[in-house]
Amino acid sequence: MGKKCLSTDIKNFLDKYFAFEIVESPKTGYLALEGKISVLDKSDKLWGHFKILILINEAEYPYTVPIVIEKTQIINRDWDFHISKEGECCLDIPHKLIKRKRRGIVFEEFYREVIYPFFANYHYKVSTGNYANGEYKHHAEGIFQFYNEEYKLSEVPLIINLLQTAITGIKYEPNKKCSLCGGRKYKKCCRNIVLSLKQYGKPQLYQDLSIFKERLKSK
Amino acid sequence: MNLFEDYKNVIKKAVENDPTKSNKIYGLSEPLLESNREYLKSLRNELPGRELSHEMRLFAKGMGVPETFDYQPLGSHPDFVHLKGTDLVEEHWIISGFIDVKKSTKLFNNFTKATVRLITESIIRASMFAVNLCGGYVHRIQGDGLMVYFGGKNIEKLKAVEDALKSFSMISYFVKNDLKDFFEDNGIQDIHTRAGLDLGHSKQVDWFYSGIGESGEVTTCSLHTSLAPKMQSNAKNSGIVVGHNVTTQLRKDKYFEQRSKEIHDYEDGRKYYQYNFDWERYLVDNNLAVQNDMGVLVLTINTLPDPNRNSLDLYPIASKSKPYFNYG
Repeated sequence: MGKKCLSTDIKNFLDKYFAFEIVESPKTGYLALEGKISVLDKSDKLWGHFKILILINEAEYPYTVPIVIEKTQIINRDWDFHISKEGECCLDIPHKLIKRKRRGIVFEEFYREVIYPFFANYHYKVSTGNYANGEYKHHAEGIFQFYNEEYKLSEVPLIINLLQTAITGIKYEPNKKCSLCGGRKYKKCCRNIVLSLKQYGKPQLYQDLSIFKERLKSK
Repeated sequence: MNLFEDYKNVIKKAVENDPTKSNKIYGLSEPLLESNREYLKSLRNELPGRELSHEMRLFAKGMGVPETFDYQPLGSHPDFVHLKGTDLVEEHWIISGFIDVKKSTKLFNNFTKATVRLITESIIRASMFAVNLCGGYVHRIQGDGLMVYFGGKNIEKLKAVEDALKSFSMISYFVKNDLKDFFEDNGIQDIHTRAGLDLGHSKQVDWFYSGIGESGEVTTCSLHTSLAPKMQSNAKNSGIVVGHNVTTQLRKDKYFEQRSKEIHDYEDGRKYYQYNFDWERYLVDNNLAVQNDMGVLVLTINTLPDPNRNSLDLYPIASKSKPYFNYG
């Protein structure tokens, strides 16, 4: 399914975005697209161009997150610009990318909604000093920030409890007092968060759990 | 940069000030029409003439066009003008092109004759600019269409083919991207260009003077000049159809899709084929256009950031992204 679905989606993309082409892939099992992104704003004013390489896992597609590498080296290889030394772009917090991955991506939409905005946002930061919608802090701090912004959570012990519940699948009585935070009814309290966390999959949840446990220990 | 901004603005103003819509109930009185005619007369002065706008000059410079750019006189091709009034015949290759705006008669249903005249003139002037910018010669104006030649004695055939394709692509872009949506918003559906281009090699083209005395013109007799308008009529909406001779010059299959039916049967077993030309891809590949996040083409030759850009216009796109760093 992966390859057939991928070839249709890539054909549709290449029929619409003419500055891209399929090139020899530097990574086995990945389809490689190379091309130029021209950043234009809503008034069609040009901000700049980037040459980029996009690698897409052929076997996993559409349940995958493409790797995007900036080739022109316009973006400073500095972590403040969310890019690795090799030019790999950190497009979003892993949790949001995992959500897209589990839902399955359509490459053209991913380009439009994730890849293109990343490069537009670079220009926005250079021009104004800040990213348009803020940014996540680096490494573990960014994970704390995500839990805080997405779920309004800041108490580490509660976050650990929620993560453990999501990982182990412990079920609580929905109409009884919430065992995780002491709220009135579990079904109207932490259950929605637990269900939402489950979407990120166990590997990510284990990783988050260890980050939060580490934070608790250090406190 | 919007190369055709000035033409578009004149069309917009002409449409917005047309009295037809607002006076449907009581009809158009002669004083009203006269006042509109006066307005259009002054609006006509806003159309770019021989003096190019800043954007047009920048674009011309980017294309390597000399600063002395000027419009070629209509009619006789300058390289064959010496044939005027003679019986001489010269063989020389040429690219013949036809382009016009389809469904433009619908304009008469919605606007006054004077408004339609200014709309048509704006489109013609924009097209003439694109043709002259790319080294072509307008042979004849036919209502809202043009008959054009590309090539001559001091230009390489391949260069002339590329110029012709660029020029017709730019005109197609103007009507499709700048005007179509605007017309649709104003109740006129489906306005589009159709174009045909073909190359006749030297053995296939006679240049001669057709007519009597002063009443004639230097023109071509060629199967390929005759096929160009046929191709035009076969083109899809906003499409450009080219002949096989054009495709063999460019030798880039990705731009050409052969149509199932030939355009000419030589009746000796040979057939001459026509092709849909992917002009949008051609403009992007030749650095004459870039694409926005939605894949919509924007005509530009400038590779540098626009000095008038404003971060507020970038915000709606940029704010979809919130980056994170987790390397190393």
